[in-house]
Amino acid sequence: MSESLFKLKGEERIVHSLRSLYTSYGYVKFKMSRFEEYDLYAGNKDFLVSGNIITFTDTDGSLMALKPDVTLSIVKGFREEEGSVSKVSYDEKVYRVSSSSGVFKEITQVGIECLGDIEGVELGEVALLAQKSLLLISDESMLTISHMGVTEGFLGMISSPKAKSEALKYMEEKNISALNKLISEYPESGDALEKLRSLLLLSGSNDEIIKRLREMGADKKSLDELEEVVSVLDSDALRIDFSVLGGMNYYNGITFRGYVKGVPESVISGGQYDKLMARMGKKAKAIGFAVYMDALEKLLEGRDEFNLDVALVYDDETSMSEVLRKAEEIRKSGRSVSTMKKIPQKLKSREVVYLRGGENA
Amino acid sequence: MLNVALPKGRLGEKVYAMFASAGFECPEVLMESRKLVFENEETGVRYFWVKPSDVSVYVERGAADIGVAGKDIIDEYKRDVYEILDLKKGKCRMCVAAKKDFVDNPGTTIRVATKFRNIARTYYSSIGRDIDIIHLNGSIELAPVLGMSDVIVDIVETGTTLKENGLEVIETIMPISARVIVNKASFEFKKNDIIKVINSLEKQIEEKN
Repeated sequence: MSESLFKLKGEERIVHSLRSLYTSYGYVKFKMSRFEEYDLYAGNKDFLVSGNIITFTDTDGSLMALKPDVTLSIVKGFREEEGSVSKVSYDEKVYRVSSSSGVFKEITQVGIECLGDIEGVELGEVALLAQKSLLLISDESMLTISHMGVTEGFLGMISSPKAKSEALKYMEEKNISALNKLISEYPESGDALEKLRSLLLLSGSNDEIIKRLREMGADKKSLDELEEVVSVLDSDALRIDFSVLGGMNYYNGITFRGYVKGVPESVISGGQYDKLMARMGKKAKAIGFAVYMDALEKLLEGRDEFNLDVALVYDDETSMSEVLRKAEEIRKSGRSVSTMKKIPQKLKSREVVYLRGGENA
Repeated sequence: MLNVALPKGRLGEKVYAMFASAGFECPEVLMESRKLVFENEETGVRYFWVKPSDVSVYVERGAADIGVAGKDIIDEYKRDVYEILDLKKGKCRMCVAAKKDFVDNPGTTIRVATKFRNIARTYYSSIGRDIDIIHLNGSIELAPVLGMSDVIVDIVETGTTLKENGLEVIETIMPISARVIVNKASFEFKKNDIIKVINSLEKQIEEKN
């Protein structure tokens, strides 16, 4: 019962536990301004979940934006130091169009970024943290992981640029019929397209999938990296899935998405984004992910049956000190108490305690 | 349990037959009744009948794991779902049609009556044409007849309705057919069942064509 008094709302609880998780791994909290110059986003629109940005003119006439994303700000502010790695975490409000309602919303975005001279250890750690984050949100979760190098390797074998861009689009849609059609239209790239097509419906254990990818002649370096990361993750809540493609201009290497049961879209999205770093003039590598709390709304809503433990109802005969003393007494048992003379219609309390004429009821 | 949204009507019945041969039988589905949800615990499947244009909503929001919807609806509403297979059923075309004597004057804004605002807008912006969209919910053919619009953007199956109203197709925007769509999260959580269905449906489509 004692937990109910301090029970945080779903979102607050998850943000809180994610933050402690990241702190325990040495990720330093990063706090930033709510505004950013619009230029930062204008040049990297397809990195953002939605291209719509709320802008306003600052006092000096420059065009500013309410932050639609956190990663770009972190990359911008990153100072390179050779051989070292900077690990940061954040929980920030961002402003963008919500996928479910189609209107602007304030959304809590929580996440981590690992920038610098990253290698295997960091890749494994970040993927592991993504999986742990999912577990904090729900008992039933799934992390899907892929490697851009594998997809790009096969895409690179397609000679026609038009076929290549179409293939990419169909991969994202998992559109088998359209890929089949593409195979018949571009027989010279048939082999590569066939391989891309078989990436879409990979099934079996992760080991089997990696074995099959090796037989298919997937890029060895990428596959070794993928295999190593997969080996440190909980295989029951992990799937190798190559439809994770969004933002090929930014991501390279490992990319992943997280799903939890009861939410129809991904709640975690991330990966290695050296290409974004390069676009923003940084030599270092980087990997990170974000947890989108707006997607979780569907999971968190409507869980509370009660909004109060005890409604303490008193009458005119009861003295003020008596009411407050009694309330404090109940609170000590770990329950939440609200004092009132009449119970509002919408209030649902677990229990009602009456105080009449100074006596305990 | 695999949740399947079937579009009400003949197409839905055909789709059910394909799912049944993929091993997800539930004979109750085809019985005349007012029930909307049918479940077969043995085969682990639950079917429900919904308005065809709503299938993609059920799938996007995860109430259904898999469903069948027209390409027109998927494109018009840009649903965030996997569009895995082309069933090659319910074939028709998204077209621009106009009165037989219509002469297009590229120097003017063209008035377009349609149910499919986004498809029309995307098409005309791809050819760099300024348009005035008139959104209608039905009897689109009436708009050019009464002179309310210059052209219409609509689905054309046989072209009979167009002909009877003195209209003709002047441009085909894209072919339309029924697509198998899958919710992105369900794909990960129910992978085995979904891949089983997809593989079987693909085989069935190939055999028929």
